[in-house]
Amino acid sequence: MPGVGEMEAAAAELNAQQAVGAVANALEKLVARNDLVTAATIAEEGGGKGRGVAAFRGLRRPAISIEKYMERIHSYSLCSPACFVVAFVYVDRAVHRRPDLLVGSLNVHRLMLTSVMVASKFFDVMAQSNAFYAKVGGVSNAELNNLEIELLCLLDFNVNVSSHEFESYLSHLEKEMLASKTHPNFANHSGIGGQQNYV
Amino acid sequence: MEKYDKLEKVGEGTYGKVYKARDKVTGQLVALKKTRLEMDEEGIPPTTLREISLLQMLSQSIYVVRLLRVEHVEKNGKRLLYLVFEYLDTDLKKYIDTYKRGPNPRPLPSRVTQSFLYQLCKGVDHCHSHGVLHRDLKPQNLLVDKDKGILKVADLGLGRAFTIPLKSYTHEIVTLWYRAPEVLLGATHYSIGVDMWSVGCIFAEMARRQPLFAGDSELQQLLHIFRFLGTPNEDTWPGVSSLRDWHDYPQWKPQSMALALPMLESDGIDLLSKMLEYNPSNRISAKDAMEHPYFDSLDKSQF
Ligand SMILES: Nc1ncnc2c1ncn2[C@@H]1O[C@H](COP(=O)(O)OP(=O)(O)O)[C@@H](O)[C@H]1O
Ligand SMILES: [Mg+2]
Repeated sequence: MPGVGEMEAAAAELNAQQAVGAVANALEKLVARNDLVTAATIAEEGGGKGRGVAAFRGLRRPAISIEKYMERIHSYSLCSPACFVVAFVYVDRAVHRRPDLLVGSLNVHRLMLTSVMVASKFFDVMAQSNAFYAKVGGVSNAELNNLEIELLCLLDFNVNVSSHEFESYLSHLEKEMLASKTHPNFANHSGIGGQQNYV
Repeated sequence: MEKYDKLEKVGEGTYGKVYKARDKVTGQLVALKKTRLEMDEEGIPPTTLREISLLQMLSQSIYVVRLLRVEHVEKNGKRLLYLVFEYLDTDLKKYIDTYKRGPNPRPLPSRVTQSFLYQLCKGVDHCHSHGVLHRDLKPQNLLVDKDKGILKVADLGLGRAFTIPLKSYTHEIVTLWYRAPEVLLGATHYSIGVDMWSVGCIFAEMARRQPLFAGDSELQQLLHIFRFLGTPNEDTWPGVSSLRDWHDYPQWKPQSMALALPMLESDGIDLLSKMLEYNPSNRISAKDAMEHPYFDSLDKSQF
């Protein structure tokens, strides 16, 4: 099985802080850009009760940053760090399938909570329950169950990630991270939702 | 689910029942596997999540059961998932039972065993080449179309994508009787060899109409294996004594497979011994098995 060896190395080396940092960095840029676009049209519906793309939209912007939120998810659930990268892949897939899904500050938390949970359920040996993730993520169990199915429908249940895909996303995220460190103001290229598909 | 007429229950598993049903519009026979999705703590069971996503990748092979669609229904505020499969008339366990019991007990025709084993290898190779370990191969999870002589791999609920090995696997896998010795001995990393071991056990079971190693505990299971194949040691299986659950076991010499399985000719015995090879890295792959001389007399053009 070509690639499995390197993959194993890449996934094993990955530490949680790096993974969360790199994914948060990419998401923050994306959210900043999309929030500008959507500033005029937000929040007439929401509360996580809608269907489809709207289900993920909260009424107000959560106080906790997406990075801190993911750190919190990791520290309680102890999912594999690779799940954050995989969750990013899911969000990117969803965005490509549904161009009306704009990842912004009102939905990014719910999207990531649900995606990390699904990634862990699919890849980890022992995943925590939805009830557990709901508590950690600050939503109700019923809402998270609903979000889970909405996400899976958005993804058409396509939740496997090949080693090749995983590696290209990871290296993309790491490059972006480096770029933002060196040029904090000019690093906003090819985020998710753009034309480029990383694979 | 007004689209389907439920006809009868054909199976019951961990997460729900399997029904034979008929599509009211097309008349097509289907199997419905229902998943409870009540507002429970677990949400979608991991087995269902894996089964759907893995089958979507694998269903283009005719040696893997076809998932026709996923029906997502809402009834009185409850959300249910139905997996809709093509229907096959029986599974390999029930099929073997018809040769064992009933009015006319007799061995499976050796042509059938050969053809089923070949199709099983095809299905398993298809999974492996897509980076999927089945991990629960056993006769109940192989579906059979009696009249057409077709066998398909089903029940990918324990299947795993082995492309992203995150945390090491535990031995949450495979019904005891078909479980590979490295898993029984607590290996933390394992690969396609676990499926090939199961394939070997299924091959022998078709020949004998009895499970090959029918242990009722993990220790018993190991002892059954050792008694038949000889107790492994560092010569026959380098590294075995450093596996987590290795102990000093009674020393047995290997038995003659040909004597124990007189119904298999020598090519069959040779292939079986390659599937039941102790060292997982020397165990034959599904792809290589399909090239084995045991299948020389099979008309492969039909597959
Ligand atoms: N497509 C099908 N056609 C006919 N029978 C089936 C089909 N799928 C499953 N069955 C029957 O139902 C049983 C249980 O199904 P399976 O998919 O193995 O679920 P579980 O995860 O509950 O074991 C099988 O052993 C088989 O007898
Ligand atoms: Mg089964």
